[in-house]
Amino acid sequence: MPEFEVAYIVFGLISASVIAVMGIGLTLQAGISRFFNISYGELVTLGAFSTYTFSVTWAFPLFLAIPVTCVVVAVASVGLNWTVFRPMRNSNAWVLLIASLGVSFFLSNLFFAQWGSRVRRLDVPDFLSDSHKIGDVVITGTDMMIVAAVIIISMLLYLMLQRTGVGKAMRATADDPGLAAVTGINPEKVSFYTWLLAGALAGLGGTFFAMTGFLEPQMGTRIILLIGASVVVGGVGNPWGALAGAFVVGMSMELSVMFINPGLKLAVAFAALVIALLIRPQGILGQKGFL
Amino acid sequence: MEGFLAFALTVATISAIFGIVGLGVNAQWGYGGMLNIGNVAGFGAGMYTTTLLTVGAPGERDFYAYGASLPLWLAIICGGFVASIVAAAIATPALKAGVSALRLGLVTFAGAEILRTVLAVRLDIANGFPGVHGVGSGFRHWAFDNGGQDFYDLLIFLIASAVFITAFALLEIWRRAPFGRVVRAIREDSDAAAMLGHNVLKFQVQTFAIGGFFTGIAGGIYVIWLGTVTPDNMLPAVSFMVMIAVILGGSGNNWGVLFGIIITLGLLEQGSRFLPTTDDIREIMPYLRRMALAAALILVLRFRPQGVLPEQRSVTVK
Amino acid sequence: MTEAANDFFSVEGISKSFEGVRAVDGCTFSIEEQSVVGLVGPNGAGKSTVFNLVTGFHKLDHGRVKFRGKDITGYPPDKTARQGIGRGFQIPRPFSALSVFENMIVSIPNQKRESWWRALYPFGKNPDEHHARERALDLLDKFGLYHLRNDKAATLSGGQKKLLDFAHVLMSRPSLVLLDEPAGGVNPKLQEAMTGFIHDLRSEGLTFLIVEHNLAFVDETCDTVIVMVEGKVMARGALSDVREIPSVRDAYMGSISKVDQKSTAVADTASETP
Repeated sequence: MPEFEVAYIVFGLISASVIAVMGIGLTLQAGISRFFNISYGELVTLGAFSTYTFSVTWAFPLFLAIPVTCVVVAVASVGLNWTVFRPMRNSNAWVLLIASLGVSFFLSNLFFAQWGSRVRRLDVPDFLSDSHKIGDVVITGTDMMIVAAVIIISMLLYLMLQRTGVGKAMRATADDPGLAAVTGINPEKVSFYTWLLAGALAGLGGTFFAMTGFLEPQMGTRIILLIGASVVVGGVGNPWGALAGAFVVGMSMELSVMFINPGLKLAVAFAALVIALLIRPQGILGQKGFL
Repeated sequence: MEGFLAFALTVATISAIFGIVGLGVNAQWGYGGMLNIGNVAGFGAGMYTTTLLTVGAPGERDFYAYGASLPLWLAIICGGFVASIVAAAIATPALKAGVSALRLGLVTFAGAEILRTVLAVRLDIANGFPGVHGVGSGFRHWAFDNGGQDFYDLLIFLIASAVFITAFALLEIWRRAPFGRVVRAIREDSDAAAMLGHNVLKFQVQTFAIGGFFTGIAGGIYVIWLGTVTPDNMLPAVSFMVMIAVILGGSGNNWGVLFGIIITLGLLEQGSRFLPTTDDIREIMPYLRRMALAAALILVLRFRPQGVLPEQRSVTVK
Repeated sequence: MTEAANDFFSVEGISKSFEGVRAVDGCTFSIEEQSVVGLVGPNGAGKSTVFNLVTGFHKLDHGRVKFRGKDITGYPPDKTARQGIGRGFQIPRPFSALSVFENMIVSIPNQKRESWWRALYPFGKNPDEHHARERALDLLDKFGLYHLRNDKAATLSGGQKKLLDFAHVLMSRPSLVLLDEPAGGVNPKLQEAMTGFIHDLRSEGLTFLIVEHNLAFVDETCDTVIVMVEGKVMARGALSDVREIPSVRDAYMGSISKVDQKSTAVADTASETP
């Protein structure tokens, strides 16, 4: 059994950052649309493959490929809402959940058809792949970039939710959709911006996920449970909850290495999901959820 | 057997095996309103239990700790019971907490993935990721010696369909009996059912275990047919396919389940080989088929959420 | 109140708070066998909460519930029901996907074939099931729902659902029936019929505790009323006597006459139904 090392905490922080980007997207979207969208995992996969296509297949610079990917996935996200989920928004919650399962199944097979089952990696510039030694811990430029990105995203999100009209409308709708509609907030507009933002975050998160590991068409089903864990642990609909949830999930995954087989890291995250669902369904920063 | 006959037999065997899984899932979801997105947990538990109870002591290249060399039929039945315990163990804490169908769906989804991850990582259970091979080889040899490939295929089909028919009959009896009525009432409004004096948790756990039993039996037959088991047999896609078939065919209606399974897992999965195709398309055909299936599910949910064949009344009074 | 009365059904000092608000606050009363008792009071007095506490749907903070000499405090809903306490809902909750007839026969707990393994040797006679069917059809006939027996419960009108809700509670032959606004949203003719059913059943030995806002209905139906205000019992007696007590008038009678019946029902639903 490995001894405790500071490195585990650092790795936990990095894992948490990758999860947090996607978790914030999923929790915002779930809070507004009031269903748990399993196909969000496929939007993340789309983000990873989009960045791969632009940067590897078409040889764009990585830092051009990432914003383009965010736009692509954001548009795909809104398109998905318009074609599939919005027409069903008055259905039972289980209908939407199963529909999102169908979408997930559709997209993952589309990705298989397009990209095959081969495992791929992103090429990253040297300054990102270089290792840096800080104290006893070795981390890469990518890791630092991801942690920095999460901090910046959180600050921007805070400003957006507190200062802008759309952000305030989002918070009000997530809190109480009925009340928000009565006070003159346009639910269509809020929903549009939420899916757009959630899609952009899925694109970014998928890219980060691919940069720290690899990409394959079926990664979505693994990722959705991981993100789902952070969202449920934190409290569905609350972006700061997702941030906290991602921290808990990321840390418990990396610290579990000290006690159990590292291959069971994902199982630890799933266990966190189950425990959160059973013990504290409203999450750490709980609010009344629909789940 | 050649051409169409062989094809028909394959479709029928797959439909019968996954039909049993579908019936089990339908008991949980269709009768009981308990979403089991991780139904492959029971199926996989059946596969692994049957494997470990039938294979002999581990060979030189094996890592698994124990093989019991039991007769096939006994191993399959044990597989059913283990699956029933596994399914109930995953669901009971959630049912006890009185969670919604959605949360139960996520719990079972995660539970099945935890099980699959553990089976992939722990070599000492069943060789981990490479899995166990040569399951049911004694039976296969016996059948080949006595009648060849055709006899073997036919035998598997007969076993699977006999079990399917038994399961169908049992579940129809339960549906019409007071047991099924109470389970369906709990699905509609569990609080109201409790205030009529029904022990909600007991009925829910029993229904979940019964459904799990059949998924496990199906897993046992399937692993004998395949001759091998790996953690990939438990990928979430398997759960999704069954769930899609049940909802497509008609939640709560066993004929609907049969219809859904034949259409989705039987004809759609196997039938496209008769379409004229180029090599390019042949390669991606499995994916295109599943995309068509997913699209069909979404359309059914949009326009006919009760499924193609909706639930029947259990009793009509003159 | 006699000792015998206490023996049938009583609550002693039951209390319940929701998020710091006391919905029921030391409520004590008892009911005699074969009586019809009205539980009345202004909105938010805690009447429906009393039902939820008695049936075990909510956990009590304090107090005891006794039924037929047995302490049933803290029993879960299903166990409470099996003691012989039936409950109707303010907004009827029939099992929508089940037929009217199925709604009736599903309402008997502990039938023989209700256990999954006994369901497997049913071939042949099953006297329990036969009796259940006869009783269900009799009750449906009595409540005027016989012609709808094969219809899905979801397709019934509001009044018919109310009748079904009442009828299926009777299937398990409870000795105490709790009814939550049996006259709410029901036309006057049906209200009269309800009163008739309740009196018939009382003469067969049943006891009723009825939450109701419609005082005309209470006057017709109930022997005595218990007035609840702010989670406590304020008065008890015949409706005509209780009406004259000044504090009751202030707390309740004055306001109720002005309040529109329908809006009362809606407000109560939002705050009190489980």
